[in-house]
Amino acid sequence: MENGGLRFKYLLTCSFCVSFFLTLFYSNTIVAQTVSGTVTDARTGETLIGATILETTSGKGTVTNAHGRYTLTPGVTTAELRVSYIGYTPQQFTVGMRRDTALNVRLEPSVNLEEVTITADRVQRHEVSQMSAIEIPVEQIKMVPVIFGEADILKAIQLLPGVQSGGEGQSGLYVRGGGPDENLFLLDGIPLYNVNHLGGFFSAFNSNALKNVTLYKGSFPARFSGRISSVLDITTNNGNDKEWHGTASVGLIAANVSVEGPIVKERTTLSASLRRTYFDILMQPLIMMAAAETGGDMNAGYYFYDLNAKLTHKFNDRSRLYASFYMGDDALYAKISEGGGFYNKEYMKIHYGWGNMSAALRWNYELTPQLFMNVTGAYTRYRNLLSVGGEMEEQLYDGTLDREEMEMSYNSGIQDFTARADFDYTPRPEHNIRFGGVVTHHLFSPEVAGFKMRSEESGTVLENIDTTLGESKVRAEEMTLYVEDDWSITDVLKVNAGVALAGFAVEGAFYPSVQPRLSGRLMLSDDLSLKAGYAYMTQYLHLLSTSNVSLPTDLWVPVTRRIPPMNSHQMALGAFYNRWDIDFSAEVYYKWMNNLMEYLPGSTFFGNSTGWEDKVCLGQGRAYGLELLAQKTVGKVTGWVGYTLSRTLRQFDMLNDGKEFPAKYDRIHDLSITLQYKHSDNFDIAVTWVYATGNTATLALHQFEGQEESAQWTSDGLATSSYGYVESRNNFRMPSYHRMDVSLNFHKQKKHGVRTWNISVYNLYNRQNPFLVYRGYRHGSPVLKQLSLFPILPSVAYIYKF
Amino acid sequence: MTAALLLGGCEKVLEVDFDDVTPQVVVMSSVHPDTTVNVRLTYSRFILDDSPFRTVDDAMLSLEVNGVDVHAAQSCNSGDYVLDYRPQEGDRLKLRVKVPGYDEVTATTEVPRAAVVTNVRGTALASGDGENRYSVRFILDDPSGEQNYYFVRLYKKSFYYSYYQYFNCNDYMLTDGVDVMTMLEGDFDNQSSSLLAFPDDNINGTSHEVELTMTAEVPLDSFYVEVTSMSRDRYLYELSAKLYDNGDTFDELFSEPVQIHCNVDGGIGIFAACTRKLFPITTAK
Repeated sequence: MENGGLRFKYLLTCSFCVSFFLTLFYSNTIVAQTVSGTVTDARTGETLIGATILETTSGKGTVTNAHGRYTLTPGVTTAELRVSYIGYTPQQFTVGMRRDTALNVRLEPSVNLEEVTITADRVQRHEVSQMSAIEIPVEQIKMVPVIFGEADILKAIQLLPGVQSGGEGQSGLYVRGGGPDENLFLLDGIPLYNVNHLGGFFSAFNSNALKNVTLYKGSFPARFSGRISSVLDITTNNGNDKEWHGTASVGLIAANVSVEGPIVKERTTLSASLRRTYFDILMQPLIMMAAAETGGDMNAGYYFYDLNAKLTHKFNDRSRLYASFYMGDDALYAKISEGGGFYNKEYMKIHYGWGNMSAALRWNYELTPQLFMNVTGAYTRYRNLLSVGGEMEEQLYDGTLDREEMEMSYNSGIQDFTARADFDYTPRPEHNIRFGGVVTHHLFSPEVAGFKMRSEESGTVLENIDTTLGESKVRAEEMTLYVEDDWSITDVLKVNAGVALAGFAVEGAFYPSVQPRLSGRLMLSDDLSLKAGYAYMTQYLHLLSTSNVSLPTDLWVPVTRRIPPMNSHQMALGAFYNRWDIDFSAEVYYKWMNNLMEYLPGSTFFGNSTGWEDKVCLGQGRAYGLELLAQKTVGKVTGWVGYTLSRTLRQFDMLNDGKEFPAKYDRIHDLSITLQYKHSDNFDIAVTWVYATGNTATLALHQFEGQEESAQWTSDGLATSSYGYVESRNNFRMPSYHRMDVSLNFHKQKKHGVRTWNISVYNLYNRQNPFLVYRGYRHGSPVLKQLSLFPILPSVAYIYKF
Repeated sequence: MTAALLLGGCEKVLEVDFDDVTPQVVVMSSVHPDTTVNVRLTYSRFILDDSPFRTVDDAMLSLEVNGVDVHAAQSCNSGDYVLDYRPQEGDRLKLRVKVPGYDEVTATTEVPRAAVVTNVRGTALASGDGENRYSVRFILDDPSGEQNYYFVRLYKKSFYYSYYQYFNCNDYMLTDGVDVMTMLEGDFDNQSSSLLAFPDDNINGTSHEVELTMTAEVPLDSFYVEVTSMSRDRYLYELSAKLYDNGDTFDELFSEPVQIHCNVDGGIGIFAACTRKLFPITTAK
């Protein structure tokens, strides 16, 4: 009751603060005439995110939001509007501004790649107030060469400065010294958990389904909260509203098919993508042959699939409804029967499955030309299920049967029920205000174990057990209110100021949090700007992970009475410059993190969440660094060069004698070069080279003879043992990591579409990069051994777009 | 093809320059009140060296007690040094070790006061299944205002063998209802263990009755309960060594690394004190 009262007061205070903020700053707002509308692709009807609308007389401009909407109040009687977007032919309009005007723009894709004029008036990276954010065009992501030829956005994101991968081939992101559980993955605004397939070697995002990807590493706008290190905001395709199109591809391990088109022309569209691996199908004959040699039978394999579907309905120009669905699962299975045994039926089976599912319903509505609303209701679920069982059956001489069946199961997961409302308000050309709120009901199922056993003798049931343990669920409520204003104070100075008010209620405890956010941009010249930002973030969820290898048993758990929320303060300063259509940036950052969680020495978390609070300790972290980026997104040659100089340190009273130590993923140097060259419509090539300081590892370089008081006393005194001595945590630096990948695309126009052969080579010069270092033996002598995962890996894929 | 490539290029010997990893002096000493100070000195060896540990036989040791050099005479036998001084409870000791070719190695410890244990008694429990189950109870009176560490175990001297026979305790509880798991946080194995080790975090300055139960293979007429008061360094060393012992290859891949706690400046090892108290138990049905 007490907590309920506290929560109510907190929410009341939050609501008051937001109202006060809005009232204080905008009570005297003079609403001038505005022009508003949607910018779409003329051929597909797909909304364009980040298109520029510029009033050429006044120089005032804006960009379209995540729904392709814009609102501009140019403050002139006749507006000369120029609408442009990379890769599209710009259009100009003359609009009389005596009243509010709706202007929907359809841009034609450009056939000329050298659209210098387009880039000249687009709102460039150095001009926006947001810093520490990078947007990568999806077409570029698809061209980045990757393992097994499967385009992967997370692998592409890992090539950006300030972002590191966990290990060879892993999809985990380590952003500015944060851990892999500190990233918020938003798919159409809905958070996803465990966004990996196959232990992290593939991400759960099918690149064919994506429209826009933006990574925020710092200076987070107030509309984002819930994680302390990064936000990956992913928007999926709405679908072509004029005609049906699709893409089908067959690669080395997976096949992919995507379709999009109108159900009702220019009103209702569908976009759907399905990807599935067929490793299990290819391997099955070999497995059966191997099993047959021993007289048995075996059916085993591994697969994953993911399905994205989005239905969009346009009621009118002011109102749209989106229903989106994502489902992705991994499954590892085996059923093994041994032949020639005593029983006439005997097998054991195992099934291990895990995956995400999310469903969301969103409604966009333009309340007034200045006020745009987006309301969302969503459900997200992550679960994993392990089941092991078997059956034995024996036919007795009298024809009756003796049978025994057994099955053990274990499952865990998390479900989120989310409701959110977001508003985009442009009362004056200088202000773009966003405000809204989110309420999420989390339902954690930490562990549910089941046991079934049934035995029969000559048809008589001897034993029949069916029991379930640990069905108790943990419920938690998370709520956030936010307001932010992107405010052009003068032509030179622009700020984005906001605050997020968050709260988390779990097991009778309530954790409120006030999170101020501020970033600003100072234009020093037309090409050069300085930016600075500060963000305070709080995170209420932890990931219990066995190691830095992503496993399906990794389990999300909420903060508790004993484990408070993590939080971080981050400051960043940067210079941004645009020349020759290249965005140059240099950013420095410093980040403090509190209540970080590490596992106590010797702890493991194999699907064991009970008592997890006893296995962890809390501490602090700090990370600082310099990030340099040169990015080119237009022209025949595109790509980016990124370099990061950074340190990531941790301090825990319970670890390393309380002394500060480098984090597992502390890499001092990190360089990545990604170049893509589009030679013609028939051929393009992409090359990536990465270099990084080796990961740290804890390695005992000394052994010593030790005695334990707690050891057994013998008649000769205390027994002695040999121990490894670790001078400090993460004391060993693995060899540096570097690798080159190449991808070649051969396109050909066919009767019904475009055929593409993709040939890619991962790890072109066969560098054996360290994944794990351990003590082993060679010729009877102890040596240090290194385990490398991927040598040179060529792959080929066939893609057909129709 | 992919599977073949994956399996093909996996493992290689790592060539790393470890020239700067030289043997260090290892100090092992468990100091007890009213007993001479015994110190074992050896050299550490490189992780890739499987040869036997070498003892340090030419070291010069000195001992300061409460800030005063006590000029204790030393004797040495294959790395085992005996300093002829018997410290008392509450003494603060500083050990200096000089080994030719090495910088001076030092370590300090304070001899803890004995645990305040009263009303120790044992009972043979009635058992219908033929097992020999026993219960031991005692009152532990933890002094206030100081951090204390304890460990408790039950044992008897083996009649047949030349070593002590330790009994696994199956259950630990405080009879006044304090949460056992929280209370005994830090024990080495909370299911069944030959000893309990715990800090006084949750019982600081209070008195509690402790009950242990155990099962023996044969009926026992008598055995001992040992309640040891340890210095913090000794507790952390014992805890980390036990965690290290519990690790195996599988755990190494998927569990957090274990650092053995050391308190020796300029070297490796542990120089730490503990004060043991033994209570003979005669069982009665």
